[in-house]
Amino acid sequence: MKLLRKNQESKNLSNSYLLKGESFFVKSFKRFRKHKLAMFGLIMLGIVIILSLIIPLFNSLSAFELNFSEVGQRPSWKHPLGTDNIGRDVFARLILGGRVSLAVGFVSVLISTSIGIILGGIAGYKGGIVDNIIMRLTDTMMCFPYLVIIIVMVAVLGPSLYNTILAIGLLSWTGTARITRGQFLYLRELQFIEADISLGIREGKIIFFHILPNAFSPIIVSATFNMANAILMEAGLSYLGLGVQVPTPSWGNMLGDAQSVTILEIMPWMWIPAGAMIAITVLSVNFIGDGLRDALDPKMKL
Amino acid sequence: MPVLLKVKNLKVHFETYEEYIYAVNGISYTLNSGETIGIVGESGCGKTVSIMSLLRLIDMPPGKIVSGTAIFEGKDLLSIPQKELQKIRGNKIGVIFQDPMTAFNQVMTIGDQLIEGLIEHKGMSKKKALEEAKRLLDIVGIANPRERLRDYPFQFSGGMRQRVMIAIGLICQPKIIIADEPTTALDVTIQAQIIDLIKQIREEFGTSIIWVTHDLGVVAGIADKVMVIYGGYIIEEAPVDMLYNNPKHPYTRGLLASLPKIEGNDRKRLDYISGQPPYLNKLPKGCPFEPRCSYRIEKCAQENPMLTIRNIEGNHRVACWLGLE
Repeated sequence: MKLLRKNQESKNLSNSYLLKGESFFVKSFKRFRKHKLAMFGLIMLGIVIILSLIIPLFNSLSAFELNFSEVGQRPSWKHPLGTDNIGRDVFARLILGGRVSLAVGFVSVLISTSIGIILGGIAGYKGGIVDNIIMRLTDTMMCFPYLVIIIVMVAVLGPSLYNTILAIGLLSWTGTARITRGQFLYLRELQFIEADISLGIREGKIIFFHILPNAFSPIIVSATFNMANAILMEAGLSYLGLGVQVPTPSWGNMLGDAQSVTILEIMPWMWIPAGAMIAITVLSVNFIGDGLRDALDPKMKL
Repeated sequence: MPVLLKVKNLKVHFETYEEYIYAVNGISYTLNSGETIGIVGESGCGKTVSIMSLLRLIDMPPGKIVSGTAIFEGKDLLSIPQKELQKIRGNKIGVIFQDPMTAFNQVMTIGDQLIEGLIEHKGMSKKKALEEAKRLLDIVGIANPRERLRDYPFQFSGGMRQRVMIAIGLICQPKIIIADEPTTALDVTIQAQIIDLIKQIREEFGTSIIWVTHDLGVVAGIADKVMVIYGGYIIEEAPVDMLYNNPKHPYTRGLLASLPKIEGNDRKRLDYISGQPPYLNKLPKGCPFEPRCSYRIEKCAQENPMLTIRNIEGNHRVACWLGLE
């Protein structure tokens, strides 16, 4: 008790030297804001997301309705981006397609990152034979030409939006798994993990609440780049007719619909917007990824 | 004083692809409740391994506990299942680590790291646990404990982190604290503060302490009993005054002679023990200290005295063929 009293006295002395608490993520966000390209990407992606979420609620034009009296019209007040070769409004399809593409991006990244974290985490933490089995499985997955597998998967399961998401998600976890494993291998040797064990904390808790947050930065970065890839992959699959099926619009199958020379030459409003949206979205996501990589790198002190 | 922990014939070896390391080769000792044991020795002599293996905190594999028992509250720490051991770690036996810079999780607040043991072992609610954490921080001398619970480890200086680490070690009020060179990474003034703190805590909580260090000065200040380890063996064990005033083993004598002394004015070179500590990839036939020992006799190279540690005058144990006076 003597001890307590002594400390109470010294307590009144010290206050001014305290650093104000700023967590790692607050700091990182401050660094992120200084990254101009990344902020540009964030704003662009934000606009794309908001537009594709909000506009369909107000838009009177249907993305599905065929109107044979208005086939292949130029952009006008009625149809801001014209109509396609069977009379559907391109603007409405573009916006709805944005929902689809972004959904594919987010959900498939959610799937692939979860798988990657779980497998990579177990491999890295357990080590030894478990690590060997999981990582050889990963290597094997990486060896397959992914497009061919996706084509087979889609062919077996049947092409649809959900199967596309599933196929992309189930195939693109390898990079994340490797990164997670590398981080875990490094982190589990650090003394604070030994300290956790010495405190009698359960293994699951150590893996997910102690090691994982420390490994988050590279995982977030890789997830961002994976998202850009997933959007591209969806576009590619839909273009080939293996992804999202008509009449559901997606940027990829809008491009796919515009494959004939006549459309390419005389109706550019059918494909330029979709192509541009893919480019803008993927570019924005990549910029954000770049920014995150710089902002989350603890060695960078901007 | 009742016996709290009884370690008997503990052997810990490491087996890698290249070689087999005999890190700890059969050490036995008892820790009474309220007692502080100091374990001293050179780098790589098996100090840390010998205590960390009690809680199985060494990497296994490559490490393995070859033999031995460590009876704590009627249970053998070395053979109980992992699940039961987990309930003892942090709860009944706390650990304070050497380097306060690396033993914290950088992305969790101090408060969250403090309360984990309480939530895990005592089943406290988060709110109650934070109250307790605040009290502990106050005891170890952190100003503004309530505010500082929300801070991250990098916002603390080295000495303060070591204080927080002591608080973490103490939070479940363990019976034993294992301190693995807790002052080595700190500068001397902070060292003195931490030692004072641990002494006060020992008085207040009645905790037993196993204190590992290579700093003989620190041990003299805090321990009741000192064990000197060499080559994975205990070569001498005695109450602290007896060991410092009347060391019986040539190695202990050498260690004490190599310390700088405050009294006296003769500016002569410090003594040293020539040679290197043994590389533990094979067990010596004779005494592991024989190659470096200036008192050696023929028997030393033939038979290992470590296997038959002798009791001379009460609590003073020494493993040497010579009866040095």
